[in-house]
Formats: sequence, C-alpha cells, structure tokens
Amino acid sequence: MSALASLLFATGGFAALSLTMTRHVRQVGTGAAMMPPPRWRAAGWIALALSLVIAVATPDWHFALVQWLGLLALAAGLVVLLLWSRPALLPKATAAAWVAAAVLSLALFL
Amino acid sequence: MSTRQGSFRQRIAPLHTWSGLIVGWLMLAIAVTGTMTVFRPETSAWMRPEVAQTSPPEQALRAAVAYLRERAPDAPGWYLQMPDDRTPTLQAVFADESAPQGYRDIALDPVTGRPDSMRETLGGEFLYRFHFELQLPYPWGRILASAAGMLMLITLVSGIIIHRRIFADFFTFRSAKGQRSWLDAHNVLGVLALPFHIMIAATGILTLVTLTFPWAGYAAYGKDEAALVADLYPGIVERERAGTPAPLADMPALLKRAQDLFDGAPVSRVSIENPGDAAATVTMARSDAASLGYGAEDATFDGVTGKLLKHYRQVEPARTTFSVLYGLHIGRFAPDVTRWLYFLCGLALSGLIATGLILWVEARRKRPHFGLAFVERVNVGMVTGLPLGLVALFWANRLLPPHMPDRVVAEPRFFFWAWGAALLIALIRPPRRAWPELSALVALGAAALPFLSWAVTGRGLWDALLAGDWLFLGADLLAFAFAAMFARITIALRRKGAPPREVRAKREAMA
Repeated sequence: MSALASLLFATGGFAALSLTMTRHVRQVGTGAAMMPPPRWRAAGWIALALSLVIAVATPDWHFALVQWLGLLALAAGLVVLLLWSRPALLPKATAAAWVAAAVLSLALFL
Repeated sequence: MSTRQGSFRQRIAPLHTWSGLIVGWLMLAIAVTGTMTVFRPETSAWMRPEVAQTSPPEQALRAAVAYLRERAPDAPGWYLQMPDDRTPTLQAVFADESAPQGYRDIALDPVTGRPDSMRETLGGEFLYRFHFELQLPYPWGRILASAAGMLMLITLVSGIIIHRRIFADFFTFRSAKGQRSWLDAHNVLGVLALPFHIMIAATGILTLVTLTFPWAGYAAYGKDEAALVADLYPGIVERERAGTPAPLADMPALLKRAQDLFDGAPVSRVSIENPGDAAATVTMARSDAASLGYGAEDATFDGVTGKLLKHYRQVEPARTTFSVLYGLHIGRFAPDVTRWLYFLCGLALSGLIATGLILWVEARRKRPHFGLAFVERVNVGMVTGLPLGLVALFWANRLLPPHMPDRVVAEPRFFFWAWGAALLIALIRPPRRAWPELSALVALGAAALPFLSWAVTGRGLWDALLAGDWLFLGADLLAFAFAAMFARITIALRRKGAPPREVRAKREAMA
C-alpha cells in the first residue's frame, strides 16, 4: 500500500513538473493555468520528496530505496503516456493523484 | 566553453552509435532473457504444471535424499536447491557420465522426491543460463556476455553525454513523426529507467568479474586453487573420501539445527559431499530471499555423526559489498512490487536497445546501401524473433510428449528454431512486409498460449481466477498483454507499410 501511495505522489510530482515546461503547457491547454509555473514546480518537488519519505519509512528502507527508483521510472512513464494520449486530462489527474496519495498515506500512518 | 562541449559531444556520438550497433543484437538477446529470468522460479513452476502439491522442507529433503541414494549412490556430491514459496519443487544437481554435459540438473517432486511425475524440462533455468552463457561452451559464452555488458555500459554513458536535452525532453514523446518518434521513444525509455540500466549493466559485469579479471586471484594465490576456493567459500569443509561406507545422518534433524543457527531463517541450499561415505559432509546455506546481499551464512555438519564442523557468517565489508551488488543484479530479495518493477525496467531496457537499433537504420535511410539493408533485416529478425522464440519454447513445453527421450534439450531447440526462422524470413522478405507478418505471428502465438495450456493441463484462466492461482492467472494475463502489444505494433506497421494515402487514391482512381 505504501508503494501505491509513493507511486501516486511521484506521478503527481512528475505531472506537476511537466506543467512548468512550455511544450507540455501547450499540449495540456487551459488546465495548466490553474497555477503559475513556480507553484507547479514547488508542488512537484514537494510531491517527489513525499514520495521518497513514504517509500522509505519502513525498517527495510534499503529494499525500499531500490523499489523507489523503480517506482520513479514507472511514474514518469505514466506521465509520458498521459501527455501522449490524453494531455488535457493531466492537471485533473495530477490533483486526483495528490488527493489519493494523501488519503492513502494518512490511512497508513495515523 | 560551449563550443568545446559541443565538439566533445560530436566526438562521442560515433562511439555511442557504433558500440550500440556492435553490441545491440547480442545485448537484446541478453536483455530479453534476463527480463524473463526475473520470474525464473515462476517460469519453472509454470513449465511443470503437474506439480500441484507442496510439502514442508524436512519431508521434501527426506524424500529427495532417499531418491538420490538409489539414483546416484556413487556421485561425489549431491547439490540440492530447497523448495520455497516461489518454487514448489527441489532442484538436484549431481555428476552423471551418461548425461550430455556430464551432470544432471533435475527437478524433484516435493512429495515423492522423484522426477518421474513431471514432464522433463529445464524450466526457467534455460533462459537464466542463456542470459549469461549464450548457449556457448564454457567460458566463451560468459566472456562474450561480459564483453557485451562492458560495451553496453559504454553505450549508456556515451548516450547520456550526447543527449543534449535530458531534462527538456524528459516527458516528450511525439508519435507518427518517423525518425523523430523513434528518437523520442529511445530517449524516454533510456532516461526514465536510467538508474536501473546503469545498475544492471554494471552489476552484470561484476557477476562475471572473477572470470574476466582473474589476475587479482592469480597474484594473491598463484596456482593454489584450493586455497582460493577455501577463501571464496569459507563455509565449506573439504574432506577426502574415506572409502569406508557409512550411513548418512538424519537430514531433517540437520535441517532443523541449521535453521536454529540461522535464527529461524529457512535453508535455501543443501550440499552433501561424499554421500554414503564415512567422510560425508553436509553444508546448509541460509536463504538470502530476505536480504539484499547474495549468500551470507553457511553451516557445515559431519554427514555421519551430525557434529557441527563450521558455522560461517559473512561480515567482511569487501565481501558484503560484492554480495550486495550481486544481489542487486539478481533481485532475489525483491518483494512482489519490486520484482514487477525489475520486469518493467527490463522491458524498458529491451525497448531501449530495439529502438536504438531501429534508429540506426532510420537515420541512414537517405543513402541506401547493402550494409543498411542487412542491418534493417537482421533488426526485424531479432526484435520479432526473440519473442517468437519464447512463444515457441512455451508451446513446446505444453505440446512435446512428457517423457520423450532428451526432452530437456528438445524444448530449447524450439526457441532457437523459431528465432532462426524469424531471422531467415526477415532476410528473405522485404522489411515492410516482414515487420507486420512476424509481429502478427508473435501476437497470435502468445494469444493462443493460454488456450493451449488450458487444453493440455486443464488449468484455465477461469479456474485460476476461482482458485486464486496467481501463477497461472499471471502467466495467462501476461501472455494476453504481450499478444495485445504485438497486435498493436502489427496494426501500426501495416498502416506504415501501406502506400501513402495519395498513391492509394491515385491507384483507386486508375482502376
């Protein structure tokens, strides 16, 4: 479950970072204007950091670190697929990923 | 500054291009079989569908030793891989002069301890061995695989250097733009899983390092190989055969004592040296399924009296570093999620190599020559031939008579025949026809596999779903997923292979 939360945070993080790049803003259209680029950037890095924290918050942190690198690759791959197939959905998907990741993490750690 | 950097990049580019081309075909085969090896125990279990029961390790060991006593009483040693939650069967290796390679490597039923209830197959071992031995005699396959790994690392590093826009193009994939799309795909597959690619290439070279760089060993030990072996495997006790027969100690009791020494952790390997002799020894190895490193604790007992001769626990930092790096490569520690990520990253690496090979051709299309046509055709044969070989291997596993003679070598032959046939077709047919034809064949073969397996074994997708049989469920769904992927590729290629729309319209107007 913590792997899923970590994956969702990483996906949300990468998606937010892609919205700081002109090419992808153009692909995504109006939704990208939800936040100015510096804020997307900050949100993206925070989500990536949370993804790491959630991934390695276990006694087996050295396994988890290996797994986290794999999760990052998968998350970035998902963002590439979304930008290629349904770019307009990206901002909403980002928000949904964050909410789901936050709910999951709260359920796991509280 | 920037011009110098530019020229450095320009000088590195041919290195990437040519090291990639030289090693590409070989590396693709290594990457595809390596990716399959992530699921080696599962592949073995799927290829032995008759085994439905498991039994506790003590009973499995007792049954296996009873069988080996009657089958190979004079063998110098019996080497057993114990069953675990991923593998229901035991694996036994022992010397046998009547075997083609001089030894037998067979699976034993965990309940009866005998091999005859199952179809004879190498299971996942074949793909695992091919991954680093390439079906060549020792040590040439390993040396070739190792050299390929080194060139691969050079290709990866030079690829990073010449990639101008790693961050700007991080998420970029533009489809239907010819060469541009192939480059995007190549970049995305390479950059996103870059930590994995570098790790797997570097640690892969390291697994064979005692073979490729033996000089440190020579320098320290000279010709004294026994001393080298003793230091490399400190948990083992070497004893000369006494020549007087003596019965083996009670194996389940030794297993229990070893587990107690290992803080309750299970035993993964049992080596019985000089079985049936007064100088017999039994070495039990702690399972490394729960640790990042590879093989870290052994206990050796006297095989007759059961006295503990040696208990070795690895603490040396250099040795631990090596075993962790080795362990990272084979990923046996990996929990399910990590294992699937290894599999996905392995697929990404295979895709990286395949798109790189295709790019080499696409970038040179404007000046056609013989070499280009040759590379393009071999590319078709390799990229579609390897998956076709896997499909043929699994078909052969289900269709060959369970106890035909030399079945263990017959199964892998189908892998090579299918791969070879794909290469031959690719060399004869024009690439724009061969691409969709061969990938359609892969799609059909993979899509039919679950049905074939159901017809032969009676374990179908629906039964697997009801019984919660994750192994057969996973295998069937993976087969369908690959079928869908190759079907998608076929459709895309047929569209591309067809003449452009204007030409078609003109032709229709003429008719």
